[in-house]
Amino acid sequence: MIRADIIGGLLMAAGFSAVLWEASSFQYGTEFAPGPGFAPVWYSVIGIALSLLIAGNALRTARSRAHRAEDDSMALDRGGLFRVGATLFGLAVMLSIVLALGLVPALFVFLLFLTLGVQRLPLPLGVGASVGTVVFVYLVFVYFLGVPIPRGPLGI
Amino acid sequence: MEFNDLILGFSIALTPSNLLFALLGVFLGTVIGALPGIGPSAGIAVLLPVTFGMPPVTAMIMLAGIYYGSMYGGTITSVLINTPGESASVMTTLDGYQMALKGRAGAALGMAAIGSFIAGTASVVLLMVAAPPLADLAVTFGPPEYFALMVLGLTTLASLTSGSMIKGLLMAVVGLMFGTVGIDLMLGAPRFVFDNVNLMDGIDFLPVAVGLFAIGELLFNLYQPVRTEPIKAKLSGLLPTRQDWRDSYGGVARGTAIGFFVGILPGAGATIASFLAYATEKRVSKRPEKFGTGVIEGVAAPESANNAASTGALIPLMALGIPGSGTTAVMLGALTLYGMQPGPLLMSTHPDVFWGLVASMYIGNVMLLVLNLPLAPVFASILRIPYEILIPVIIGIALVGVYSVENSVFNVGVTVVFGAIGFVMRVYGYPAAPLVLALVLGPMLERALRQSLQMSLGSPEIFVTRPVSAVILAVALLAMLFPLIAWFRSRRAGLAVAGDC
Repeated sequence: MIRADIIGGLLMAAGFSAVLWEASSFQYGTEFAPGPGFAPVWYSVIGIALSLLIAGNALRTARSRAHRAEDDSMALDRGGLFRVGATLFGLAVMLSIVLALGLVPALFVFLLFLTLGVQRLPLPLGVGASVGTVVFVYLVFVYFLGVPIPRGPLGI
Repeated sequence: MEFNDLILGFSIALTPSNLLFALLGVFLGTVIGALPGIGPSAGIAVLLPVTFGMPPVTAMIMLAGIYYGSMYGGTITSVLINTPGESASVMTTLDGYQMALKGRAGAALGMAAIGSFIAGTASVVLLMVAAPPLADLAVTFGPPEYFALMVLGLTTLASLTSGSMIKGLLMAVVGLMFGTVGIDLMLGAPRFVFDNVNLMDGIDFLPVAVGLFAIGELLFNLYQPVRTEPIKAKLSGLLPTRQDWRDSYGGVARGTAIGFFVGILPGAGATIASFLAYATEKRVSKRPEKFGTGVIEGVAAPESANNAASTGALIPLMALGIPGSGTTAVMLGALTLYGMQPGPLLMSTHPDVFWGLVASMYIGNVMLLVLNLPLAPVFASILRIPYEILIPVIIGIALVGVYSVENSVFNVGVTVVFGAIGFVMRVYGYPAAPLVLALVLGPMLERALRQSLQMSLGSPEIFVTRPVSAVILAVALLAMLFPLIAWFRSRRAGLAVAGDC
C-alpha cells in the first residue's frame, strides 16, 4: 500500500499538472468576475498539493522499517487481477460490437464470456444466468419502458 | 408546516400506484441491503433508470424506500452470517451475530425491525417539522452561504469517510474537476471537451455513480470473491420478550435521536450514526462489559440510529438541495434528471414531491415492519443465491440502465471506464462517495463561488464578512482540522500508527 501510495500520489500529481496546463489556456478572469479557468486552475493546484502530500506521507512511512513488512504483505492477487482484466476486456469488446450486433446480443455475448470464461460457472448455470439477465433487461427496458436500443441483424 | 400539506401528501402517497412502488422500494431496498457487496448508493444508481417512466413523486417514493429499506436489509447478513450487507450495519454484527450463535437470531432481527420502525417513524415526524423552516431560512441565503454549505458537505464527507482523510479530500477535488468538463454555463466557453461532442454537456453523474459504486464494487468482488457461509442460525421467536423491551427501549430512543441529528450533518451519515449510537449505549449501560457478547440493546441502538439517519439525511437534500452523502447525492441527481431544481424552493414549487415523499415514508416504515417480521426467513434465503450469479445480473441491468437514460453508448463506455477507476480506488483505499458528491455539487459550487466573487468585485472577503457563511466555513475548517489534531495528539502520546492521517 505504501509503494502504491507513492506511485499513485505521483501519478495523480502528474495528472493534475496536465490538467493545470490545459486549464491555464482558459480565461482566468474577466474584469469583475472569475472566468472559466478560475476553478480548474485552483482545483488543479489543490489536487497537486494533496497528491504530493499522499506521496510524501507514504515516503516518510516507507523509511520506517516497521512498515516494510506490511507493504510486502499487500501484494496484489494475480488470479484476481486476471479476472478483473478479462472482464474489462470483455466490456471493451462488447462496447465495440454494440452498434453492429445490437445491444442485447452484445450484452448476451459478454455475459456468456463473463460467466463461462471468467467466473468459470458450470455451463447450465452460466447460460441460464446470461439468458435470464438479457430476457429481464429486454422486458424491463425495451418492452415496458420502450427504450430504443441499437438493434442488430437479429432485429433485437 | 400546515396540516393541509400533510393531507396533500397522504392523498398522493395512498394512490394504488404509489403504494405499490413504496412497497417495491422497501422490498428491493431490503434485498439490496441484505446482499454483501452492493450498498444503497449502488442499488439506487442501478435502479434509477427503471424509474424514468414514472411521475417524479412516484420515483422518489421508490428510491427513498430503497434507501431506508436497505438500512434494515443490512441487518439480516450482520446477524446471520456476521457480514454487514452495507457499512451502516457493521456495529450490528458485534452483538447481533453473538445473539444468533446463542439461538436468538429471531429476537435480534425482530428488535432491529421494531427499532427501525420506531426510529424511522419518529424521524419522519422530525423531518416534517424541521425541513420547511430550514427551507424558509435557506431562501434568504445568497451564493456565499451556498458556497460555504457545499464546502462543508464536501469536507465533512471527505474527513469522515473511512481511511485516509487526505485521500477523501483528493477524491472530492477529482470530482470537482470532472464537474468542470463541458461548456462553462456562465460564459459559454468549452472546457476539457477535446472536440468530443459527447463531453459538451459535461460528464453525467449517473454513469460515474454506477461505474464507481456498482461496476467498481462488482469488479472488486471478482478480484476478491465474497465468501458467504451457509446460514446456520434458526429463525424463530421474532417478537422480542418483555425483558428484551426493558433492555432496549432506551437504546431505541437514544439511537433515534443520535441517528437523526447525525444524519442531518452533511457528510456524516448512517454509518457514523450507528457507531456513535453503539458507543453511547455502551457508555450509559449498566452492563458495558456484556457488549459484544450478544446483548439486545447492542442491536437496537445502532439499528435505530442508521434508520433515523437515513431520514435525517433527507433534510439537507430536500430543504437546501445539498446532499450530505453518496446515496443522497445519487438522489439529488435523480431529482435533476426528473427536471426538478433541488433547493429551498422545491417545497413550494413541487409540494406534491416533498409531502408525498414524507407521507410515503410513514407508510413505508409500516410496510417495512410488516414485511420484515414475517418475511425475515425469506430475505435470509436470498443469501443462498450464489453471489457469482448476481454479478452478471447486476452488470447487465446497470449497463442497459445507463444506456437507457440518454440512449447513449458513450455513457456506457463512461460507466466502464469509471468502473475500472472505481476498482483501482477500492483496492488502494480511495473513497468513491466524495468523488460522486463533488461531481454532483461541482457545477453548483463553482457557480456559487463565481457569483460570490462577482458580487464582491473579486474580493474573497465576502465569505468571511457575511456571518452565516463565515460560521459555516469555520465549521468546515474544524471538520478538516479535527482528524489532524487527533492524529498529532496520538503521535505525541506515542500511540500513533504511522501511515495516513
